[in-house]
Amino acid sequence: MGLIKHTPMRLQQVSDQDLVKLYIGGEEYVIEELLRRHKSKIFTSIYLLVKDQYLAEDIFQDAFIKVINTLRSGRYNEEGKFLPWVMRIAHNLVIDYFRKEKRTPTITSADGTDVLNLIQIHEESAEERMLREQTHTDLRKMIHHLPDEQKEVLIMRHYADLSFKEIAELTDVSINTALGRMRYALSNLRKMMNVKEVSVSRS
Amino acid sequence: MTKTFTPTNLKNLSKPEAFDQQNQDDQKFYDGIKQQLDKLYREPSAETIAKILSYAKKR
Repeated sequence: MGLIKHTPMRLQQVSDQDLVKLYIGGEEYVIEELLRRHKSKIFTSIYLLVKDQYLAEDIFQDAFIKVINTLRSGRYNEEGKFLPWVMRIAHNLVIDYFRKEKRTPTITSADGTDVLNLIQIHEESAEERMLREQTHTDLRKMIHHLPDEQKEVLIMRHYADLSFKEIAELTDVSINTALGRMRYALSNLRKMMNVKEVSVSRS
Repeated sequence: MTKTFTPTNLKNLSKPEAFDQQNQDDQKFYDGIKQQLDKLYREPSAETIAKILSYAKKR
């Protein structure tokens, strides 16, 4: 690649892998292009997992500092793609956060649905009439109420744009398990939407 | 001779067909909510990006 200066227009045509090589070669400015390409995918994925803007900002920043440190140290493995690699780092940081937090356990049914959360959604939509108009807010809540494994797959597939193979590798499960979790996530979202529709039609 | 027939609406789908039907339903539902899901995209703050860029440029 050499140390050829790239104009912003040309940088957009350079692959992630080549941008990484340029960064390792001393072209620090290319990190801006990598951030521009992937920031919303990575940030949204973190945010939807931790449910807090400020915490998501911290984890996003820590993930990129780890990325930069790894690139500088020469420990970056070129076999993988850049985005799944960053998502793995961010995912591990999210897991570390939840381990420290020791969240309260949830009661799940056979299909993985959080029973208490379904009831809670039903009550909330009855109490908070304004939220009914805010579809995106409701949908975000529904995603938050999915069991963790299903939420993870949905977020990584839709927001981080990872393949099921990449998700399977990242979460250490088989591709079929990742596909099954996605199916359950969609099925549970559909159930939650039906519960919401029923509660709206009754009020 | 007695003529018999099977009402198509009562015919059980064989397992592979049921599986395909489930797949199609899931895909249809997913396609239907994609736009809503896209509305949840968020950006990190400019301050966070500035901090990362500043760190990235320090050697």
